[in-house]
Amino acid sequence: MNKNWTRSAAMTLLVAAGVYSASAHAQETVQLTFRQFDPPTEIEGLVKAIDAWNAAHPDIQVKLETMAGADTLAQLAREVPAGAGPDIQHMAFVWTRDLARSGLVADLTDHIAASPPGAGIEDFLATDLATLDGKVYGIPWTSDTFAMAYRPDLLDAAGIAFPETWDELRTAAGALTTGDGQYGFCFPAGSSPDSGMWTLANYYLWSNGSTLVDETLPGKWEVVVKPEELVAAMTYFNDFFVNQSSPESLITVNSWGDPEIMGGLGRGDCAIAVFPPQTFRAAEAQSEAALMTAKIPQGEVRRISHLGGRALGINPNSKHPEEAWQFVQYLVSADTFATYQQYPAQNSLLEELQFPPTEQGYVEMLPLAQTFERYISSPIPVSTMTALINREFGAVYSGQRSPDEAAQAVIAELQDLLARGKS
Amino acid sequence: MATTQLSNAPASGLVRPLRTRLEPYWLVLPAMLILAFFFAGPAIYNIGLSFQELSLFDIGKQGEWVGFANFAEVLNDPATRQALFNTTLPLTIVTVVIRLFLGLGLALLLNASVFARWRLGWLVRSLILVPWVTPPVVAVAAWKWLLDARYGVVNQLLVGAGILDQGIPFLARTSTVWGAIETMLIWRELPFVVITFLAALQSIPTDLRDAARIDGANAWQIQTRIVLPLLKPVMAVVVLLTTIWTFNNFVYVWLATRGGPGDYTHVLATQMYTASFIDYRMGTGAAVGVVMSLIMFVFALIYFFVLFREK
Repeated sequence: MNKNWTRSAAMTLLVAAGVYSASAHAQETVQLTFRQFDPPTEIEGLVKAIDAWNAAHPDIQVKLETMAGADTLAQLAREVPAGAGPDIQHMAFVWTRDLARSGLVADLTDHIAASPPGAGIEDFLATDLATLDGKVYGIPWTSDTFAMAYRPDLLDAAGIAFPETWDELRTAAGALTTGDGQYGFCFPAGSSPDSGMWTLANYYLWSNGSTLVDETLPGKWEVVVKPEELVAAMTYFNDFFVNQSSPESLITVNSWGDPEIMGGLGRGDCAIAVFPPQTFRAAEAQSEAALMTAKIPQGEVRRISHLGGRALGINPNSKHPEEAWQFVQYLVSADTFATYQQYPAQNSLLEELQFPPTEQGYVEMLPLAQTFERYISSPIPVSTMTALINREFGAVYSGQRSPDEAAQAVIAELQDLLARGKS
Repeated sequence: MATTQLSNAPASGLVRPLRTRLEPYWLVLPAMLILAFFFAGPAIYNIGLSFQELSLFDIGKQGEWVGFANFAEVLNDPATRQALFNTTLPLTIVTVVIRLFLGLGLALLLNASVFARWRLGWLVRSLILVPWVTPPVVAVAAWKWLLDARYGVVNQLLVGAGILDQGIPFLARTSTVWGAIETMLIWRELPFVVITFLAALQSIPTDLRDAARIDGANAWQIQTRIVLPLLKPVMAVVVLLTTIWTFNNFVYVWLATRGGPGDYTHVLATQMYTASFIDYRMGTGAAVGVVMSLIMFVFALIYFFVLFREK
């Protein structure tokens, strides 16, 4: 009886010790979740960087989660108020202020002051987009802009130098259209709220000295684009379909990386396209001939593209904000960019990068790029403006509305949205 | 005295003890709780949202109460009226009618005795289910590739056969885009109608047909005077269900065109999504949802009233 009692007590102690040790181990290992929204084809280098972090930090393990970009905002808006969500969130530059305003990302000001990221926050690009009321809510992580991508062999065959202006692009596209399946210029002309048409439409407007809305006096926002400027932009891009130098099927294509554009360039079905760097690299990898990049065409006033990119935010619900901050610092470090082939959003790291000759278009456009800060600061959500522009350009391409009618619709709706935003 | 008599009364008979009387309610309680949690709760929350102005980012917080302002805005918006037209005619009425006729025709064919004689019933029933087991996302993606102007099989066949000089971008043209969406929807959703009608047809006793034949009825008379009247209750359910599912459907239009080109194919469901998740205006989106539910509720009431008024 005594022996049995002793054996039972020993067993109980052993089990208890095991449970304690397991729970102690679990307490020692911090589990973080990092959610990003780029497609799996573009994050191979990021996966390697995270694997390297996990190998070097057995006490802070990071799980990578991927979610489609279009679903990410709504998902955060559902999760964070309920006390859930990933510890670290990958955000488009244009999201940060909206998320900060509603308390869906944590204020990082104290973290930055206590242990500055990289070479200091002043070294980062586009911090204005991550700042609200003097507090920083996101650390700019990657940056990018757009450049033209083309098949030099097709241009050489047609005896054409790469066009410098928008008008020259239209002419060149006509000359590069052969009628046997080769088109001059391919671009996403879809009407979806997230279509790439938004970017091109703004490049055209900005380079010709226009913009949709502006703060004309402090706190006073107005629709400044003139109907004739919108008509000119709509007519310009519609001409590619009217002249058949762009395939009509692109009216349904929303993404830069759509096989119709990316694969089309590689196959020689398209002579010229326009891409962000990651898409260009993917197109280059599968192209049948060499590809090159060039500057975005010049307008009447200047040559311009947008400075886009991604920021990193920390969930205010994170149980491990210190560890999350450590991981954010790792993500913005040179170690991550050693395998993650993105352009860092830090001046010092950008200077260290060696760009391949084929990416010269990006090198030349980066200094000319401007953020969407003006639109982000306006009372109209950028996503609403984007959806409106894409829809109305699409209405022109499909013949639903004339450029005049579509331009009037854009201006009327922008004015309505401004009035609503002010109320 | 009376109290004593009652308390001494046997448990069985006209007066049952309270526990026994409550028993059915306890039994249905779990189902009621599940219904309340998953259906009534969200519906009530949505109705509440439709009277508020609330950003997507502030979901979970209390919005500003604006009365019927969201409904007034939604009902006065020409885009909503266009979306209502698109939802009602090309999306719902056209596809429901085609599914009804095509489904009934196919069911009658599949019910033919020849399949039973050749023991092929299982094969045709399995084949007819292929679209139904294909997820809508996959079905739309596949159809988009099939209909692609330059690389799609449909256009390549038409060009190869000399019918067309060059492929048609079906989803880019206003003249063809609704036909393309309707084709995707009908292809994916037809099996439900076929299988339901087939099950109903197989439940009709063969004696009725035999008796009619002996009385001199021809095949047409048997179908129209015996089979179709007996299918009426099933048809009622099929029409009601397919109408409600299609009217509220978001997937086909969104995946195929995102409401484009321009706003040509926007329907109420895509309007609701755009208001909520693109414009971040949850109250407006919720108001569109409430309007959709009310339309379907009224439709269901009228439909049943007209269909079964003789009873």
